[in-house]
Amino acid sequence: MYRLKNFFIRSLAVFLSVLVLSTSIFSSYIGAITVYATGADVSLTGAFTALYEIFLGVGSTVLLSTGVINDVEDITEFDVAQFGADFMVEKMGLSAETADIICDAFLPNDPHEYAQGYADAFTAYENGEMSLEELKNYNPVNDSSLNVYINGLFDDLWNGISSFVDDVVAGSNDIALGGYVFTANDVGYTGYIDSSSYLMQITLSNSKGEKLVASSPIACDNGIVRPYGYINSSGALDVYYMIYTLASDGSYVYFNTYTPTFGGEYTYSSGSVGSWSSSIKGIYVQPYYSAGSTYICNFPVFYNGNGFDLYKTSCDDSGCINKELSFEISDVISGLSSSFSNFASRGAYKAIDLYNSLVDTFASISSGAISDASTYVDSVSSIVDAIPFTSVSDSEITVDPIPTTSPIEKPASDADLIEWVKYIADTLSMSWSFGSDIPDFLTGIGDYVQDIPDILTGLNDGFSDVIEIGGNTWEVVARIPDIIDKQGEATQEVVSQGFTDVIDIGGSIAEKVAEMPDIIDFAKDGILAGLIDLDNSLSIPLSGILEGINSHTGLLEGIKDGVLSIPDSISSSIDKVITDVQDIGASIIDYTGLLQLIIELLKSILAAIQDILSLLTGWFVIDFDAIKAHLLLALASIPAFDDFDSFLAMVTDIKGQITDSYEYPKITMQTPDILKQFIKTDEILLLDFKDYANIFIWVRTAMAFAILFGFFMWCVRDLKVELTLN
Amino acid sequence: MTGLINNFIDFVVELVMFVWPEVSIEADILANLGSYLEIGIDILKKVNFLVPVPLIFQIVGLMIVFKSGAVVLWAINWVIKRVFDVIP
Repeated sequence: MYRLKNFFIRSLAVFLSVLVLSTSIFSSYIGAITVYATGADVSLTGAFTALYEIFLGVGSTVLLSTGVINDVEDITEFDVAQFGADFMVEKMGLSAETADIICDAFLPNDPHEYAQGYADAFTAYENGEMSLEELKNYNPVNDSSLNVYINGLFDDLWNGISSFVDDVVAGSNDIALGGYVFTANDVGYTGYIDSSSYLMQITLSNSKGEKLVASSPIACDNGIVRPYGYINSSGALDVYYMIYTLASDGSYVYFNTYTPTFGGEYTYSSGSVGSWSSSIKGIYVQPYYSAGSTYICNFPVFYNGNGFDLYKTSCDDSGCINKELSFEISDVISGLSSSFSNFASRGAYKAIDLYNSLVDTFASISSGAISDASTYVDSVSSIVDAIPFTSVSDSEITVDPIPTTSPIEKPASDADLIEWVKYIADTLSMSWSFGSDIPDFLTGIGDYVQDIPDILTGLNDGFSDVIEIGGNTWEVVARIPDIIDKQGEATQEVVSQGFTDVIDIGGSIAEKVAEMPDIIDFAKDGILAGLIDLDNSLSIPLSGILEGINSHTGLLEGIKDGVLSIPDSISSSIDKVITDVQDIGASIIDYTGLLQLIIELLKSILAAIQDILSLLTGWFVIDFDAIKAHLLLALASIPAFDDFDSFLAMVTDIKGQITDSYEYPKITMQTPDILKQFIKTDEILLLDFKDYANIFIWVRTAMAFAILFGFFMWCVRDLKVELTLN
Repeated sequence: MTGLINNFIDFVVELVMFVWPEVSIEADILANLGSYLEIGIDILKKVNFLVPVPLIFQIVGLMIVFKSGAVVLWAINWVIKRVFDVIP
């Protein structure tokens, strides 16, 4: 009973949401032809905020009441709102055009098939055509699920932010996320008026401090539209609307000023401004007052009217109080901080992946897979590329770990590796500067990875020694049997002693090397355990993980300093043995080159024989089907053989008739008229060969034997088989 | 080898079409060809009870196969001989 009641309450909530939306803000918003300004902060206020809240409510209500998602906290607020918006658009049966207007204004550029599918499914559920279980398992697209859908949105937003970071590094400051355009620094304006929808789009440009006579003004027929404002005598902000015309010298001349309704629409009659007809029906100006007690508007604000007059007459913008104000990247992104909280953790995961890749490289070096420092970079980047991205919800998402257009230059030498890693760490921390604990964590990772190249270099130095000595040793060992055979007894003793020493030393080195992976794994395990904790809950104090990493840093440095350094005494003794044995081995003539030449010749001869055999084998293969097909085709080209197919069928038929299942003939005669009254049949049987069947079978068999014998003799003669008896 | 046989078939076809003089067969002969064959088959069927006709066909077929094989063998042999003539 409780569940039924709960369901009715939730259904009622959905119904009321639909009713409220369709009769109030939503419908009036859709119906209004509004000139509005978009911007980083403007877009989160006013009607957009209200819509956002409503969409959020609808989305969460639908998702929770259908049981598709048990906890809205699992996904981002923004995605819930988007789902709500899509659902509403489809549920209300809005036209595609209207839906597009909404989506252009508010939603990321995404198809609505998912929401449409869910709306249909929900209707089916209401009509009893679908059970609750089916609704829960419903997938709008067969190979998709809501989780995948939302993860796709994650990817879109992730890619948008990634490209934003790239653009900022490259000198641009715009970020386009769905319908929004965020700008890092601006007081300049660009825009256009859509002649079909009468919609004026004002977007913020990156022309920091640029004057109003910007290179990209709003052009509307023969006029240029600019909103502006200044502080009036009572300290409030007055907002005006200014129109320019284009002078003959190419500059823009102030034409007239209008006062729009503050925070609302301003409508004027058509034709009131020169030849400018009814292109614009209204303007919506939304100032925004930031927490720093500073005006951040999507239009210039002056200290007073005189400041603006000065600007109008001489283009002196010194009176503009917000021209140097800028949106920091963090300001822009903090506007959506709740939506992007997951991306903070994704950034952290990316840093973790980077770190893990370095650990892997570390292990590769320790195992000998990488012996050349100049290949570090390639291996690191390839490992980073190969890492599957793991989201907070543990579902696998494939994203570009590092944007392909990344300005991050790969280092040319190992000396640059540290700079490269620092740069990646800086970029990542810049990307996620809005989080609370995350930056510290990233900085900690960055600090730690700075040490890794040093450790890698130390490890490489140590291992290259080991490899060199090992190689020399092997070279000598390979010659020892020959040397021992050819030298005297005293030399043999020296050599065998040296050989024993080499083996002993090699064994001790091998033991030390064998200890290495365990130690590295230990360090890795410690760090990974910390990261798994982070996976379970981001609220775990990250400083604790940092402490753990720092302690492992000390451990790794200990490895570098202690385990890998080969004692001088061992090293010098190895060198001495090698020098001694090499001196002896140098006197032995080396036939390797000659032997190699002979082997190559033999190989080429064998390869030629193999080629000939394979050629002959292929040549003797007869494809009878192909020949038959070719014969039929060739005969078809002869006019007289047009009917060859039917002829062939007839021959086949005849062949079937002549078999060994023969019939014995009977000799009959027509019944004479004189005997007809005694014999009723039409024919008189004179002789039935069946009576003599045995005799005929004997004769036939003898004839067959004679034929076969003749054939055999023919074979013997024709094939010239000589029969000899010894 | 398959290609060689196919080429031989092509050669025979070309011979029939372009080299041999055109042979015309009367229309009624062509029309009655089937019935002629039927008569021949009837006679063979009657004879079959005394003479092992299928066996004779098989033997003749085998002889043709052997002779053809000998020709092919000779041809291959000839090619090999010419190849070894070329090799110094």
